[in-house]
Amino acid sequence: MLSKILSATTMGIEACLVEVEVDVSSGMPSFQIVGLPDTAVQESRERVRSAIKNSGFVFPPGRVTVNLAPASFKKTGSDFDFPIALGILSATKQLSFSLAEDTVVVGELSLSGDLKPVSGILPIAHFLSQVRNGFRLFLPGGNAREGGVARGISVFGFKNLSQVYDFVQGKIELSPVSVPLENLFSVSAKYPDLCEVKGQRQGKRALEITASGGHHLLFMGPPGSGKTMLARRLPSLLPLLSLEEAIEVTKIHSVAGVLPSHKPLLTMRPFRSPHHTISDVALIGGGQWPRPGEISLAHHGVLFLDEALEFRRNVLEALREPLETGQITISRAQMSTTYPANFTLVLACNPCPCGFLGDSKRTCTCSPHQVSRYRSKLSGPFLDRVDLQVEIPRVEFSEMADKKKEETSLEVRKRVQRARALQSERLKMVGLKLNAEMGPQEIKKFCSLTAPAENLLRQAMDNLALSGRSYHRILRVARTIADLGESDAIEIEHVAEAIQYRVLDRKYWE
Amino acid sequence: MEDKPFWVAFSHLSGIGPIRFAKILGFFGSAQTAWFAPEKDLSNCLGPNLAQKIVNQRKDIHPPSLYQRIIEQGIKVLTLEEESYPYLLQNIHHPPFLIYQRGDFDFRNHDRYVAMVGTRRVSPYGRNVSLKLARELAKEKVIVVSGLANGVDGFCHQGIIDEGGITLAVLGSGLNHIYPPNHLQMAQDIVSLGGGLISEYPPAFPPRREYFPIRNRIISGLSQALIVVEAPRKSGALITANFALEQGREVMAVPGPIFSPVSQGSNALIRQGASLVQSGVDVLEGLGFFSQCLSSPKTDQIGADLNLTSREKILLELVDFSGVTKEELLERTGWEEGEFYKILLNLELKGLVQEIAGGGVIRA
Repeated sequence: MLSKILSATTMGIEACLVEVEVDVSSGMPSFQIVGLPDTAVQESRERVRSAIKNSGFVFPPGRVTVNLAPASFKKTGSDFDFPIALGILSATKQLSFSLAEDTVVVGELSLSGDLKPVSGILPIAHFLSQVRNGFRLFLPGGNAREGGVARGISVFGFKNLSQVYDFVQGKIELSPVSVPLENLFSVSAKYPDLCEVKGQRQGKRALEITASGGHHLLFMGPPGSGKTMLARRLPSLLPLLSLEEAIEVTKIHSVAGVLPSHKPLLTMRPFRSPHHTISDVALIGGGQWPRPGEISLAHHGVLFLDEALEFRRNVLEALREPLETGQITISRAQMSTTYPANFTLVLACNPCPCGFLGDSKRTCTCSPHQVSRYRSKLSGPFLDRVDLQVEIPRVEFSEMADKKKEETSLEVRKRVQRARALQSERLKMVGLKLNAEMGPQEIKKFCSLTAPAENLLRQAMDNLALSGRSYHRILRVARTIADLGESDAIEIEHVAEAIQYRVLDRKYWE
Repeated sequence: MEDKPFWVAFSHLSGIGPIRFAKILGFFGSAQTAWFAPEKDLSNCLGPNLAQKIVNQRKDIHPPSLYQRIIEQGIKVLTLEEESYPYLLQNIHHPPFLIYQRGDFDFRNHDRYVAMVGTRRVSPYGRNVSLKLARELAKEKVIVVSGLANGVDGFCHQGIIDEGGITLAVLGSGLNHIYPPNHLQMAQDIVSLGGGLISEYPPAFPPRREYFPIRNRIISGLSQALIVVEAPRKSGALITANFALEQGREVMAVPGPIFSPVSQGSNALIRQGASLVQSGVDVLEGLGFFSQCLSSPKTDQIGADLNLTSREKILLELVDFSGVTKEELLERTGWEEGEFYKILLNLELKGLVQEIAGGGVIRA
């Protein structure tokens, strides 16, 4: 008496099919699971046994063998409780489970036979819809809406085993769950709006440039100057997520198990701000069975590191590879996985340990040695990838009380979108999209300056003690500023402004 | 002078300063005699405790080879009895009985010495003042004496080095321990430009907290005048000013903004009667020296002949000498970012304004 049920599991953020074969034969009572199951899968024997019994079925008194195929890779988690239980019921003829060929079953069981939601459903549903149309996906009720985002498959959510039995036997009718995507997107994401920040023209302008060119950004300023408040408003300036991007973002959150139950699809750009005590594994991703870290959760969004200098050095250094490649490959003894990690990095830090260096009202109490040691943490190859560095002064109270109308995020976003369109048009032939992605070759090709601008930049490099490596960064940022002004040529004022965003290159710190 | 190695040896002993060394010389006639004197005689001169201490320490020291080693390191030893010893320093209370010097500087060839000191937590204003005054004094061939510390001291030395001038740095440590270490290059520049590094401590002595206030008396002692550039209420610079007063030196101070905590001390000095210094010429006049240069730039004329555009003039008007944030300037001009930064950068390139920490600019 053999039965075969299709199930699926995730590897990284991709999914693959798993065949659950169940054989029940007479002999000494035993219950074996083979096919490289880990501890959580082994424990499913106890859950399945009780769930079958407590749902009013009979657990076969003989020898039960379950095989998870392909047997070559390790199976983890509790996703297989549900298919194993269905396999046993159908192998013992308690349930006539036809059409098993196109039905994929995923879910966890409780001892009472209730079905519990699991993580990583969207990747599976999305994968099935890509393979071919017509799959049926049986899920715990709590996962049904997440699965219902995928098109071309019918998703059914169940409360417990008995309900599955009734449905399969045709005793009750259930309609497939399908989530209307238009509605999800039209319930437009509510980001904090830029107009809530008073004053801070420089900070806002820097955000606009960052959003347009995809650059990374550093804010430096005394405590309470509004660095965090500004950074939180960056997602609202970025173009809205496309469906494809939204699915990618949701997949990562689903695999990491942090998808909110009421949100089948994440339609807002993520904003992640991990605390500075975070470990490198939590930031980058990893673990024995690799899970996505904060950088992947910030995919297509913003990763904000407040008090950036308080992060441990190895944590910051680990960011270098993903900043370069837009993804992260985590290799462990058992397996290696690649997660996407294409995010905008925003750093915030104080100008000195006490935070008040250069403040007009408070006096800095740090010794010069303390300041230079603090600063030295910010140097090096890591900072080379941060194109804009801006000082945020404390805003005077009178300015905050000012009733002047501030620009809304929507207005800024329109400019950002136009600038982005110009960039992708120009960079199409080299296969890039944003100015920040340009390397030295592309910069040479696309960032030609007008003669007076060239002249100014050369003078500034000589006279203001700008370091040589800031040259390319100034050009990249100047290109974005010119795009924001919808100017084809890079003019004097674009370069002049770009130079302002290199505060850490300036020698006046020393 | 055969006695010199023994002077050097005595400078290595703890418990022996200028006063006791003078006593020893008076008692024994020479340092050599004292070095080899039995404990009983030392005890008669200095008391039993110190005598015992000296006996304990001296058995590990071999004066001729110690002296030889120091000479081989390129360090000169100037003793109080020698002609090369700075004559200004001779006249203070308890001058060090010897000083160590690195560099070719010869005190007999120069006669204009001005000390410049101030806080380590220098403001952008103090930095500009230090550099400006030092450069002006360098042009007048005045020897500037300072302490090689971070902040004002460092910028004073830097100003002189920029002009290729001669400066003296008095250390609070042995000459083989340059402190702070980030000024190692500066110390080398001082020596290579014909200046000198000076210390009363033996070359191998590392810096110690208590050495620094004591060496301040040498900074003022080597000079005819002391300029306090920027000093908060409690500052080593004020200790130096007190030494200068005791030593009968002219004390001068640079006025600072009344809101600035780092100018409280220097402003207080002016209230107490220190002469107010605005330029190198003021310093020379205060000392009765003649200026060797004819031109002395007046601040209110700066920028008059630079052909500023009308917008540049507007922006320059808004920038003051104590610093204003770019945020505020953007707000007050109401110009577009690109236009604003272009004009600001032009002013900066013309040397009229300067960026400072905290996102601000200041008149240069």
